Amino acid sequence: MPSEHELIRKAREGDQDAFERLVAMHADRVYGALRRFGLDATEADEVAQEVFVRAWRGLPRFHERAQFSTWLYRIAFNEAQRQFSRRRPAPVEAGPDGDDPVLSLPDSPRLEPAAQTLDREFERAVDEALAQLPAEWRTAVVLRDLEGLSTREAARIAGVRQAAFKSRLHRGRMQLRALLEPYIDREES
Amino acid sequence: MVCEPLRGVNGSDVTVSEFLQRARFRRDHRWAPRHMSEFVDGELRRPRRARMVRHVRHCPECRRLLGSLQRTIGALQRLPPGGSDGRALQIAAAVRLRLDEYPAP
Repeated sequence: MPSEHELIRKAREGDQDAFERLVAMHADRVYGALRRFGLDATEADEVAQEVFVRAWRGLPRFHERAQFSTWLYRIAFNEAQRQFSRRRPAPVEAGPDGDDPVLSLPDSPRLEPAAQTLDREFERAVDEALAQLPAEWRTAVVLRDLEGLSTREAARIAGVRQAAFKSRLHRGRMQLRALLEPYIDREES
Repeated sequence: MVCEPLRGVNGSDVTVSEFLQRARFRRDHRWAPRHMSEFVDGELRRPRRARMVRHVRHCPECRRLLGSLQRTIGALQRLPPGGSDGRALQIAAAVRLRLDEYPAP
């Protein structure tokens, strides 16, 4: 089976089969990231296709200085922002970079713990909690903690300096901590 | 050196050393929660890292907060990547159909 590098080289030469295989390799991750950025299933499906079509058109500009997956995340992030701006006016959120992350924590978790600890249940709880975060905080947590990118890569994708990215990440994590506390404590015990 | 007692605001006597310790504790108590993510990520430089360690050793509230944050981040990082519920091949096929609309790169 050809390596990713080989598939990229062939796709750059116009080999659609090679590119289709690249899409099949990365569609899961791209779709999953789009969902966690906040798109619904239909939007994520359409936007994922758009991400790969843009990647196909942009292949000559991809020089493999970054990983192919990181490059796709960058396109996915931009396409998700485009989708958000089409979907509705930008939500008025309480200054995601301005609030104190500790003082602005919810008083009590809004997610009710169920009787059993299940990974699937925790995943759902995370998705619900993510949906409650301001978009910028949510994106930071998704890129850094769920998609496993470095701070540097994630900040570049989000288009902000590392200091600003770290601030968003910290605020997002602190809010998630408050929302997920019952699940986390239960896992520990 | 012998520290002379100071008259505290509540009338109790405190030494200069105790007064400074309390002031430092309050300062660190405000500082620590804002830098816990960097601490967990190993992105806090050594003097600040030592400051965090020293503070959480003496502050149960911050120790609990840091522990809870570490567990949250650990749990998030252990989650499997979001999947497409088997749509990957459908997406690939749909993309393939659209490639003809665009010239080869």
